Amino acid sequence: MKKHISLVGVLLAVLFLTSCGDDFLEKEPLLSQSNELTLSNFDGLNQATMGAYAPLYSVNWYGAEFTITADLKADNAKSSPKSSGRYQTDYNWSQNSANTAGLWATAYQAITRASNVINAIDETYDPATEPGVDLEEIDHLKAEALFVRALGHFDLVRVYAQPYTYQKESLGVPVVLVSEIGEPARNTVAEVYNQIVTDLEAALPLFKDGGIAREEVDSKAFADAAAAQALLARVYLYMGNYSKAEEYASKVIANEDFEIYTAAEYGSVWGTNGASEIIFEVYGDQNQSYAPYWSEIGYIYDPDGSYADVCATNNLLALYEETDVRADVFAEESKGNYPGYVWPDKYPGKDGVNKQNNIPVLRLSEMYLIRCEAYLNGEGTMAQAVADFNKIRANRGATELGIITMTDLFNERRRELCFEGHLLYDYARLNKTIERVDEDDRITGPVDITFPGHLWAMPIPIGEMESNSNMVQNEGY
Amino acid sequence: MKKVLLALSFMVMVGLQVIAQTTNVTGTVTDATDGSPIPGVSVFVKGTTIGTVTTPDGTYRLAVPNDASAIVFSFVGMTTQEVAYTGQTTINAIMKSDAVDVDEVIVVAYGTQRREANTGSVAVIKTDQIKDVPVESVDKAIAGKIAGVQINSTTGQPGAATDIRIRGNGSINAGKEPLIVIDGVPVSSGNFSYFTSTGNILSTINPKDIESMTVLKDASAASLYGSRASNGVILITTKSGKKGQNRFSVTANFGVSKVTNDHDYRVMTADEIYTYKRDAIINSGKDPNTVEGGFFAAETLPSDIETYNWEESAFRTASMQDINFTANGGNEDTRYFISGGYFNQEGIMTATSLERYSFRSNIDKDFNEKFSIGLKTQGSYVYQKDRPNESMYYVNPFWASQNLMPWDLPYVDADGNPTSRNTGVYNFDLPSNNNSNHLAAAEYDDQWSKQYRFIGALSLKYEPIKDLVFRTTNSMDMLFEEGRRFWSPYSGPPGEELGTLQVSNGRMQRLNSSNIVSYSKIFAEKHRASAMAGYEAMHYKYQNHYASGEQVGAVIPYLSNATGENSTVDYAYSEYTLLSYLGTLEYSYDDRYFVKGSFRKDGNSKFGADTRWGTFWSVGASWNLHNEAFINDVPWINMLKLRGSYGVAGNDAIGIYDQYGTYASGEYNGKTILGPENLTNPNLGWEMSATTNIGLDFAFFNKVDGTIEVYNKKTTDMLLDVPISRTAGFASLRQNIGEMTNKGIEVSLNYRAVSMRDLKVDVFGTLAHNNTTIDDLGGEEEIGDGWWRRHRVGGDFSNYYVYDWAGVNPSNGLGMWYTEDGSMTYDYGSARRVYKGKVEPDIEGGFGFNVSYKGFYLNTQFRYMLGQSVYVMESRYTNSDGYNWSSNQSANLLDYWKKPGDVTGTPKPLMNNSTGSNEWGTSRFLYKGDFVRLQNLTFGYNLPKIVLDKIGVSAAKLYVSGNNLYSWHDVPYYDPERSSTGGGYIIYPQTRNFTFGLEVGF
Repeated sequence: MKKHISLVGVLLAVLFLTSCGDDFLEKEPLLSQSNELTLSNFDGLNQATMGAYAPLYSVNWYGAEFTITADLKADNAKSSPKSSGRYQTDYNWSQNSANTAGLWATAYQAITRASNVINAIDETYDPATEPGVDLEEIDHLKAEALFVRALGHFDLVRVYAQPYTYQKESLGVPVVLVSEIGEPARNTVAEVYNQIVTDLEAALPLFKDGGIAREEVDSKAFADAAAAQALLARVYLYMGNYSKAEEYASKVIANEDFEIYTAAEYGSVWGTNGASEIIFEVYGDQNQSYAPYWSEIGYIYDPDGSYADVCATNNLLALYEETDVRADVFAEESKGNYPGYVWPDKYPGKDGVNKQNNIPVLRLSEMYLIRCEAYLNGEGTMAQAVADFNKIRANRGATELGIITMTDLFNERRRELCFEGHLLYDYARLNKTIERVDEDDRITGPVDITFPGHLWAMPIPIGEMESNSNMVQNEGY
Repeated sequence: MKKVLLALSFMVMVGLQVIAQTTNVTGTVTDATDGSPIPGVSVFVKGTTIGTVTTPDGTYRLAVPNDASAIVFSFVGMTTQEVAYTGQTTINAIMKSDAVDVDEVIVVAYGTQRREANTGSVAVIKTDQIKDVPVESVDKAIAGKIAGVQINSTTGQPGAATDIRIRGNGSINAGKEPLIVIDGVPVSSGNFSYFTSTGNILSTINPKDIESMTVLKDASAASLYGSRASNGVILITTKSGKKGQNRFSVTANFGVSKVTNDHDYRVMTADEIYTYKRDAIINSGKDPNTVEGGFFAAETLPSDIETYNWEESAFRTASMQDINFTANGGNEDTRYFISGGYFNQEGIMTATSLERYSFRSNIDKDFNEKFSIGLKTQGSYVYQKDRPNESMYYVNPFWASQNLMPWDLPYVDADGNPTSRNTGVYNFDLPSNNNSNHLAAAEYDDQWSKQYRFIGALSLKYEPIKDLVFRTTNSMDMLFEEGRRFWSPYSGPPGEELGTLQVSNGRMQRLNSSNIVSYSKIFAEKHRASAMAGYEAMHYKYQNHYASGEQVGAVIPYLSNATGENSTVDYAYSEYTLLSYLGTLEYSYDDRYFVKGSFRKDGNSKFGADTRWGTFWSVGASWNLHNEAFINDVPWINMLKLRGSYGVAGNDAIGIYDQYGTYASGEYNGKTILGPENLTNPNLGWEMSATTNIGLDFAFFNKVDGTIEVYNKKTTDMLLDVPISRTAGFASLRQNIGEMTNKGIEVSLNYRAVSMRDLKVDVFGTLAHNNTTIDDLGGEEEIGDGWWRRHRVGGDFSNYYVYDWAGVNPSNGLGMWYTEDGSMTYDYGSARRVYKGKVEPDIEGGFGFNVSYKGFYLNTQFRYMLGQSVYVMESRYTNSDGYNWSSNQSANLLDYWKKPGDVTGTPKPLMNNSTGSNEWGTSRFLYKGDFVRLQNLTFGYNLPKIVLDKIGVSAAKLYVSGNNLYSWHDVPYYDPERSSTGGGYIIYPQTRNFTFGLEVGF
């Protein structure tokens, strides 16, 4: 009997183990959430959506490089006498595929984060598993993700491709709508813009009024319908579609949530959260993911910081009348070691820390300037254009004008939007040559940047070229 | 001694045997080599506890039961003999030395095997070779003893991790350590302690419980462990009970240890550092002779200044105790081995130590001829106390001792004046060490790990017909870890009453079920065949709770007393499983020709569904030439065996969840966010290694035996981070793409120089040369390996990549560097980077001799590693040429440049030196790491039988043992040995130990 018992025991052990099968070999991580788990419920989708914004603060994007270079390369800013070498490549337009803009990888991180949310809501999320979930909030998350994805593609195509208004059938950037390991080829500029408009227009009806109650610090660092409208106004402006630009700019201007800064408050709105003009901004905090720390825009622009690599040009300062309050948003080095030089002061830091700043992306003044440009280009009368133009000047302590030209408008954009990442791309979309003034005889590259030319599209990063066999480099690099 | 007495009193309970119906048998036992009688040979009736030992004239008398089947003669170092009993009254035996014991049985993967039948590369270490070596874990005891097994102590701290490399480094991104198997059960290894600088759970195993260790080096030996075998396997077999009388033994070791410092390394004395700094002031163009200049310094230090030796305060003479008790015995159907041990080793660095309590119980029970059961259990508790070693924390005693100025005094007196007298009140005005006093920290701060480990294995064996065996072994390996780190307010300047506390609680659990059926058969006398098939499952889980609290009162320093807001809790969890099918087939003919094949299929949850299952196999063959007729007649050839094998094994030592796409939390806009952390990687697979091994085992003249082996191990599918299109949101993906080759030769030799009855002299040595070549880095030419090393295609495993130091300009005393074009510059920024030196040795091994004369014996073990380089990273601060201005400096700098024309390797000192002469990653601080160590020397005395009989014990031994007695090397520092990466900061030096041991058997 004993022998039978033992034999049975051995057999049972074998049978038990055989029955384990392949399920026994499925051990998913419990703590770092799997992609599937994260994207299967409202909380996960919500956190993943908020996570899609985080790369915007990267040193490669609004947190520093993208914003700084738009002014530095186009003569609003220059390499400062304190510079210890940062941003020389951009100042001198000596870009190559090894030192090119770092936006590429960062923007695709935001795009894939956003696409994960969009695709999960479209394809795998099942509200039936979450009784009581607010479907409007799920729609809102998708709308936010569509906004981030559009912004990512928009900034990529502005940096790495020729302007839509010049060669819209030239190579843009890959439109990436799915997070996957692949080797996507570049779409045309027109195809990229088409996707941007598609995403933003799809987002518009999905935003929930009032958004989602998240108890965030800065509600304007999350997108809403107004942000999507404002971005659409700008995108259409870049496409030369003045009619649509006017339409969306007007919608935002009509929105009572936003008020133009007054001359009296203009100097104090910087360094605050969700100021009255802000439609969408990037939230800066040195403790958050993607914080650029010592490379943050505020540190690069702070004359008393140890970097202070980039300062304002005199030819920008010369655009301001004496009474213009915008001329006061500049700072000198406090010890007086650098007479004749001033640094932009739109990024004074928050909570006493100079390396954490919010970066305005879309604000009301830009909407007036967009609409003004649309009016000047056949969508309205001179009176309408002048009214928008003077709406800004009246609130800046500047003289109001009775008739304006595109040059007046261009200069007004410089005065109002300097150091917020616009000027280079204004030149590009208007197909204008940049005529720089080599104020300190420090430019070692080309002084004037002739349009057209290969320099207007940044080279594709070498890492992408080497790992994506379908990638085509821009001409001239 | 109390413990010994306790054990002695326990001995009284020894039982007696009652025997009936016997015949007296007498005889003489002689030595085959010279015919001399051998005393002390144990003679017993097979299968019983009836026995005796031979007298000094080699004779014995034994009452043998009439139904006895055989008489067994056994003696240490000799082949055990069995003589059939058929009623003889005289039985003489001639004992042969077991130097060429071809019938020896060795432990191999999933069982045992006659050494004669071996086809793979297998090395065996027996308890006798390690038992006198006073170390806390067995890996340290075998360093230098096995050809091709490189064991580096990463630090000299008790309980420190070792880097074990069998035949070189076998991987870049996956694990490099061998699998550890105890009594047939794979166990966890590595470091599970949370707050200690180093840890090694092998220290939870009492080395005194170990009977033998087998190292499986090639595929034929190891591939049966499949996906875990590519870095080799170490099989540890614990002692088990033996039929016969109840035997008891007590061993006790007491010892002291000190830091190894064979070059008398030290920091500067007060006068030296004073003059050095004064010269630096002058060299910097300042005038130390006038007060007005602001840098006044008298020519010499005032003679009455009080100084303190901080190095002595950091390195103490530490004590050690190791006390073990064993009981062992059994009868026809039950055998047991039971042990208890206590081990306590103080570290040479203040407030470091390792204490262990352990027990083991190995019981085997045969219910009948077909069915038996065995239970092996061990429990242990290890308490490891630590300081922030291997770091530049100012409370790290070693680091502090390098920084603190000789005139910095550790205490303050009642008037608040600094003093070297221990007033119990610490001085914190110590700017040379960032105002930290390591003595205060050692007294008040806590940093420790307590580990509780339980390993149990229950096996059932069923043999329904002869040689058909079913065996199921079910085991658990559990480790509980408790950790604590308290940053006491009292370890800093007075006034602060609140500290910071961190605690952790972890649990590791590994369940293993192994189910094997085997059958062996001898037919037509000359054909032996055997087959084995098996099925296994393994389930591993780990979890850890961590909590920290701020503002914890020092009077009740527990988390319940934390009042700060920044308290945190964290939780870690991981789990993986393994499912395996395995089998072997063996055949041999006439003990001349042997072939063996092994197969294993592993499924592992670390890998995705498509890559989860892997197949591993090996084939091996051997030819025993000594059993061939044409060699059988050659009298001087005792053994000659040629072996060859080929097989593939895998490496599963990667992150448990690497295949999964995961999100991890972050922060944005004041909210917790989630972002992708890891890309889904369904194609992630094993690293594979294919090994060819050819070996020759030989024994000649009854004097020389040894093994020579050559191997080629090709690692393919090596995991590397390959760049991918950034449009995926990630820059790289880990892919099975690289290749690497380890080639080498191993030689081990033993020479029985003298083999007389009273005098024996054995000489032994091992030599291993391994050459690692990187063949493919997935298209890259080179990739970084930390900051100052690189892996290169065509290069060694890892080469240093350092700034090329050109020495000191004799005309001005400034340090220089070579530039790209070969010219020299003072500018570190313009220095070229060059490949210099490598982390792996060219040759490593050990040698020594064992002498015994009558009861005395002297065993030596030398160990050597040649060809590797080490980078002493902290030299940037300790040899800083004035850069680390406020701190003391190494006395190595004393040959500094003083006047034009001085030819020296040490630049002149400059105040706050900014020339870069002491910069990071420099060949200036890269040293040849070659060393030869006198690893162990033991001198002992076995008390003679006549004395033993008088005091009523069966064996007694006294010995003294020294570890790390001396090292020959050129590293200008305490000790030449570093971890397998060659770098590191402030590494706790190795220690020199002296122990006195006593072993008594009953």
